[in-house]
Amino acid sequence: MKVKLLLSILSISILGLMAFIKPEKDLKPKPPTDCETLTGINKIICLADAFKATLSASQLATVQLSYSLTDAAKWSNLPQSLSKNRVGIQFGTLNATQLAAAKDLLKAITGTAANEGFAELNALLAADDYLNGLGGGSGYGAGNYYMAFLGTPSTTDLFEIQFGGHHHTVSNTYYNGKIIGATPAFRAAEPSGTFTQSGTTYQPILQEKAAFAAIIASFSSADAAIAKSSMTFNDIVLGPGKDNQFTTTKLGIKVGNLTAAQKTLVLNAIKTYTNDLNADDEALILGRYQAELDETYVVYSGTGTMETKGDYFRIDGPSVWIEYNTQGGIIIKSENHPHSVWRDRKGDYDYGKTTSINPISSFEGKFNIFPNPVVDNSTIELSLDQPAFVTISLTDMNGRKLITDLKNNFSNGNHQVTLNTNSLPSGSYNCTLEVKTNEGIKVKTKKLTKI
Amino acid sequence: MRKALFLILLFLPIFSKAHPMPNSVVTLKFNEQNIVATLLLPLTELESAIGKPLNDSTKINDENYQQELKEYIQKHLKIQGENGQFWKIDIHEINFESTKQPETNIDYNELSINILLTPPSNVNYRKFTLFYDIILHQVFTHSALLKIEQDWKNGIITESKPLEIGVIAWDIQSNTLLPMQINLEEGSLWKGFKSMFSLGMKHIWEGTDHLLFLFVLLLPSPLSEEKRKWAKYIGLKSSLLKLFRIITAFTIGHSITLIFGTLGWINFSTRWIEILITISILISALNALFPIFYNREIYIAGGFGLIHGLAFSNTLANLELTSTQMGLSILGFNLGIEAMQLFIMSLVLPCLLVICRISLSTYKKVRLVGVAIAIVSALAWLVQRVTNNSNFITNYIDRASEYLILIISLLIIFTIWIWIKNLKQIPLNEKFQS
Repeated sequence: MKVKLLLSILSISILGLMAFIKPEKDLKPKPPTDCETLTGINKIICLADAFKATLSASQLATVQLSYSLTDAAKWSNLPQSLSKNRVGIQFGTLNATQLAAAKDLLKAITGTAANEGFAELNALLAADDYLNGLGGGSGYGAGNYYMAFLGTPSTTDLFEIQFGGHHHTVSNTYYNGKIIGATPAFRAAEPSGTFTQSGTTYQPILQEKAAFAAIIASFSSADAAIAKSSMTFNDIVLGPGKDNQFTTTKLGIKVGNLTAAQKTLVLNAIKTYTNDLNADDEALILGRYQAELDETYVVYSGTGTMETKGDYFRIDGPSVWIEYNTQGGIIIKSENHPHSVWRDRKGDYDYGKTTSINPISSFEGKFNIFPNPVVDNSTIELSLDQPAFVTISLTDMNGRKLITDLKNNFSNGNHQVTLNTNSLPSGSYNCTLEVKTNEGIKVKTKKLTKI
Repeated sequence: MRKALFLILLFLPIFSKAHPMPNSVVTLKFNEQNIVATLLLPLTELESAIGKPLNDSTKINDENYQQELKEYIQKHLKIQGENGQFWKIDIHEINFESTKQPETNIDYNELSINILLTPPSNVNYRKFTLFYDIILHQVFTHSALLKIEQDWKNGIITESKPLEIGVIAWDIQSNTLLPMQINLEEGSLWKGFKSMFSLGMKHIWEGTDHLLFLFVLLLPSPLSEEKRKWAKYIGLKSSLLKLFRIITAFTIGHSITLIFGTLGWINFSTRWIEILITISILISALNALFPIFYNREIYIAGGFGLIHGLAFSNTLANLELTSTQMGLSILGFNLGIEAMQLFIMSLVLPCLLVICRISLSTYKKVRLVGVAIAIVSALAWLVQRVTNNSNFITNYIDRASEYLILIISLLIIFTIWIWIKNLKQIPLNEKFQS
């Protein structure tokens, strides 16, 4: 009797003490009853809230950010020791409960196919631990992956579940209760062969490689003549930081000109990326890619096996953009390893939803046109504080392009470009300057009058 | 615990490796009439471009191979001046080098190629179009960084970080590789002079050893000698006169060797000069403890000035400038050194004089602390310079310049505090008597 009384007093006082020490617990989202009974976006939001409920106030502030394209663009394929730019909470700082809750959420937003989706994610985290164990250094390892919510997960608002580290990036973005984008999604694997970590054997990014090699193997020599690029690619082209830089012209062979069997092979290759999403989300995005398949192009370079250094494959559709490249080993020097990225031409990140946050900022340097009004030739004068690829274009008031873009690769300093307007009728025009540097794209438009 | 471990890891020097494909680097050095370019070409990338293995140091030294590489470079590097004329391109040296990527520590091999670029006579050689597609003609993902290592007339010298002026790479969107248009500022003798002046100032500000030497040399100058000990305050006028003579002697000394050393008339190994400098600090520190060379300070200051000047001249000798540029450099650099020395002394000396005048016993404490710091630092430097290894003390002192303002401010605050304390103790009429 006495013992029971003592115990209950003890437990009550402990509970009281806990309430006293952690009063902020009440402010946090209510722990969910059981998210597994829910489906679709409701399940995702429930699991996101459940993860948030496990965090301390300061951890929560690190995870839950407001939506911004600037933060969304802060992914990288560098190990953490080199890319210190990532936002969100570091997995290495989470306790077991918090980590389990984070993984539950990742499981719900990723696919269930073998060696794809959640399995692939776990395999790539294990690969990073494996590299760490091989002496890769403290920048490697599953503990160096970060998770952030950009925007509050809800059935109405815009939000991104961002997860990423060295060789895996998730950028799932939702709006009005639906996924609107799952890109940029970076996937890479070192080791590229099988490896065993903590008793499990893995070989991630295997289907991807096989799918590309199968397409190349299906090419007739006539197909290959069109589909093979003479250039060498020692890396993917649109890696981190290369946002908004899709090619103007598509390279390679048009999928619409291939056989039905070959089209299936291309679709299968696309699926090795969309399979990384849960079934509902995949259906929304893959449907779009499938409808556009005939207008999609593929191009490759290298030996065609996708195993030799410099082997390269690109799928470039009206929406879909996938690149895969084999490069030399970094930690395991004897073995090549692939890098690949899945992007979406119509809208990486948020599918163009945040029109108010424009990633293309205004060019603030000197940009003069004289004489203006112009009779025949005008000189455009500009000054650059860093080297840039500069494009000058002229459009009429309806946005129609009037001249071939004037493109120049400029050092920093002052530069002049001559604009010939002889062929244009009198009227008002917009002269747009686009300055592309390592830090991004800046634009400025000025009015030009032709007499 | 995990957090603590993470924090520890955060501060450990991280041996990191990573992926950015190695770039080529083109550095330009502007001479009076021409440009010397150094190309660093990563061999793995060059192999991709040429399509055959190159990663072999013995092959690189083979004459036929060198000839083949020279032809390759001539084919992929052209410069067109403002007037449409092409420049002369002479490839001087092709060397095989093993190196590490600075940020990532990845080992890789590269070719280092020295090229002399000569414009047609009498053209503005700061405005030209660079047709460069070495490696890039084949490897789409490659890029070449263009940097200026030295352009004296624009105030860019080897001591500063190279200025990046361009990136030569394929434009992904338009799938084009355009020539690089370069238009740098004209530059002027005045700009070059200014940058040498600031370099001189920087050298003193960051040259803790020079400052410490000067400080301990001047420490006992307001004092008279009695029975082989430092004794009384010799009065403001005498002190200032003595300080002036010491500083002038030091200046004359270091100016002479700065000129001679820069012009290459005398040549000593940097290491020995640095060792001599630490010894000069030690001797001056001992002199601040007991008078060793009382009344002969100017000879000592002048003599040690000669040594310190040699250290300064090493900086300039490395620049390989023309005679006009060299003359202006010596003048600018020396004036910069002078200006910074005077600036720091004008903050420190009044403090010393005030303390000395108010309280000899406090001044003795200041003197002993100064001597102690100087001796410990000098010994640490001596060990470092003899063994060629830095130690924990030098790691701290070499960073002292970051806190120089703080150190001087503390001295000033301390002086003001002594002065205020003194105001309370001594009646007003007595204050001006000493």
